[in-house]
Amino acid sequence: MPSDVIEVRNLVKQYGDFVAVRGLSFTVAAGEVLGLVGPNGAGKTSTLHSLAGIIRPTSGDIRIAGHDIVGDPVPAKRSLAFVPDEPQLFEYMTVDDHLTFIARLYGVPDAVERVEPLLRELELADKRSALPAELSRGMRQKLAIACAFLHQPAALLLDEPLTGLDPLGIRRMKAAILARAHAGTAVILSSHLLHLVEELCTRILIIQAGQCMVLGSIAEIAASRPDLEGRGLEELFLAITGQGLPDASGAGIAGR
Amino acid sequence: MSTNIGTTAGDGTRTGAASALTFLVVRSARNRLRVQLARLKNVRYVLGMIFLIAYFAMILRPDRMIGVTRRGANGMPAALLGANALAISALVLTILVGYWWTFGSKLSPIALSRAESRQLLPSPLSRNQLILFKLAKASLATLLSAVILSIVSRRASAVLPFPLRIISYFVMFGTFQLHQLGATLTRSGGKPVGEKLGRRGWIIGGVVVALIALAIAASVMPAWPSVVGAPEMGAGLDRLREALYSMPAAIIIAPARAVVAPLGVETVGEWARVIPIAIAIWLLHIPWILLNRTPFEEAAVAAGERREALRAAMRAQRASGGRGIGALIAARAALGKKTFVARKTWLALPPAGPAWMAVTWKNFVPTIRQMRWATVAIAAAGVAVVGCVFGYITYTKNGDIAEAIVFGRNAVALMMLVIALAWTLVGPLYTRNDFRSDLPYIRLLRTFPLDSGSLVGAEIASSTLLIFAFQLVCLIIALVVPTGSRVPHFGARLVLFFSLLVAVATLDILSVTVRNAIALFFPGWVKLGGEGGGFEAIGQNLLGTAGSLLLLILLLIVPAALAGGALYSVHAMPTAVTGQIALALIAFVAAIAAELWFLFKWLGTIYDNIDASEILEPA
Repeated sequence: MPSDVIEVRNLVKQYGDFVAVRGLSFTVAAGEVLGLVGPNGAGKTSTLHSLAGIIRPTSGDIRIAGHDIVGDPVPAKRSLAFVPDEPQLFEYMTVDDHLTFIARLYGVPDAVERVEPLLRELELADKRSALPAELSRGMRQKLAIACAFLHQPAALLLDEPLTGLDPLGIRRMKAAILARAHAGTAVILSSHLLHLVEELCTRILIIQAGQCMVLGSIAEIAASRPDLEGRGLEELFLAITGQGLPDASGAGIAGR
Repeated sequence: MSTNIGTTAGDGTRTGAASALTFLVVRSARNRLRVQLARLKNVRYVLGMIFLIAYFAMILRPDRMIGVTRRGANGMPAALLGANALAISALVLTILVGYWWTFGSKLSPIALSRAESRQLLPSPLSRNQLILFKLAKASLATLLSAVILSIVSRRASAVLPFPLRIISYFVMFGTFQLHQLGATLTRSGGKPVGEKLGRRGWIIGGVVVALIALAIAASVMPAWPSVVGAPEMGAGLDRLREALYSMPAAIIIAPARAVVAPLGVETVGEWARVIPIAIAIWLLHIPWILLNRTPFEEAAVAAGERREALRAAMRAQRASGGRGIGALIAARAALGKKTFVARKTWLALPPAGPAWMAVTWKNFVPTIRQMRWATVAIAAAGVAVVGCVFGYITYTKNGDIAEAIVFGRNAVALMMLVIALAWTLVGPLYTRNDFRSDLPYIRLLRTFPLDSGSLVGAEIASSTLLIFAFQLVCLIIALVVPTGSRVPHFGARLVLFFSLLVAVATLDILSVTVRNAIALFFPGWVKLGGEGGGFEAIGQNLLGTAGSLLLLILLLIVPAALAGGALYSVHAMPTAVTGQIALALIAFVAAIAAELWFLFKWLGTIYDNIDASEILEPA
């Protein structure tokens, strides 16, 4: 397997005359967590959907674990998992049914051994026979994440993964994501919770109007903008996207 | 763009509820139409529109209309419904009314969407305004159905001009839609719809059913020997009609008869005499529904509250050691509810094997979970009762018990055969465990590691297998139950059985493929989701079925020609007839398989190119 699990080259996604993503290029190596951030309408969802094979890019190359997501989609999709912001679950399938289904779909030979610890890790062990309608929003999110973790993907795409989780759930989920990264999974995490991105991600990709504004670790980004030295990701983000600038005292953000 | 809700009256805007709701209906319909027409930028939809126009042009051709118009014995155009058909329709609808009074219905005409329950329930609208708004919306769909049926039935009868046919259908479907609603509200005895039915509800339902059953029995039973003893079927039906129109059954079926009557007239003058009664019955339903104080509007909110209560009860069950489905059943029982879903899936998915089978298994799960063994047992008992009734009728005629058993068994076999064959038409319409249910999940489907051709095959296999499984059971009964000297011997029946299996399997898979192809081609135009629709969708369903049949015939042309060619080329050879038929069958099946292979690949390409934004996300 190549060290760069996710490779994106000159990705363009166009809807009619509207260009949602303009020539985006980046890579994510095994064990790395890339934070994908940007204002609403920046092109994050289009980028993630292109990476997951949900929509077809207008142009550009996307390779997952060495496989072209457009030209060779089946092995590419077998190597990745995508967790959308709103969990999509089948209403008449229990928690167990969902995992059985995913195990067969992705060809997980030792699913039986994997399911029990996974459900314990995600606090779903006592919900195995529950239908999605009987689960809270947070539990449904956990089930979607359990489905994503089950086949131990080489690439993990997470869109607002902590929505609906309680504080303990958020803490455990952060640990679970980091555990996957430490095990060698390449992770892309898209979120508006910038403190979460700052805490979990090794590098940050800020996009705006479909274009890459900045890509690198927080230290690298700060080094490229001496005026922002010592600021957190939130302030870097607002400054880079032109939505606000640090005031003279550095105590807050001066709006436009 | 103007967004005025009402006219101004000096002090600003007139905030009348009626104008606001009218605005909501009109603007939603207009925007929906605009979005659907915008699809015409896509070549697929342009082709669909051309096909639709060609389809309508074909069924509207005036020369064809004149050429096949049915005529009565006197040479005049025949009525849409003959006298006997009218009587039997009135009887069936009266029985349906009894069912609604006993078991209620889903209240689909006034069911609130999520947006409506969130926005309209807290708004300053009265209960009656809300009901009238929903009924007006449902009427638009009923009107569309009436128009479609009027077009489709144009060649069946030339008695009524097009607009009068529309009015007749609209009043009939509208009345039964309102009656379904009124009965459900009344039988709930003032309790919120969806709550456990009180004693009053069952008493009302029981009284209505008893009245219908007693009145019909009192009129039909004395006449029954002359009905079954009639020399021919037409004469028997005449006797049955006369019995139904005699007292006391005449009173019970009179309302249904009056509502159906406009479709059974032979002149426009006769229509003018009967339509006012039908319209009066239709209109009388509206005050009946509005005066009912059953808090239906709480149903949507209550559903959410019940779900929360269920969750709380389940948490309590689990805290006290309850686990799994048992905990769910116990929790629901604590809330006074029986559990019809979430039972154990008896069809297990093996851990290893082709990935596409996982999708097919997933699509079986909703049916397995919703299937009630009690319903299967009731259906089986119903079949047995039909056999017994036919046996009893025979016994009353000739007093021969052995002959009665033979007749009863053969009647059951014939009924199962008819059901199996009819299911080829009806099954693909109502069995929607395929793309029609799954396309709203397209964003999830697209992440599956399956090539699109396999996914198409898996989706189509799901519905096909479910339809076929039901037909298989019916055909097995039709194979083993017949007896006596007047039916073919078992060997001949076995040949017929396997031939029918091949035939229905072929028709099933092609029908389901056609319906999925329509959903894949026009996901922005067709109704996606689990349910097919009620009275308001009869016309649309009929149109869809007719269109599907047309495509089905096109798909059968090449296989049938190949089979015919194979049969012709070997007919002179010194081969047994069974061998020749087998060869033709092999050619037919091979051609179907080849067609399906290409179709799946092609539909896979269509699936790949669907813009996910054409499809609404599941709620």
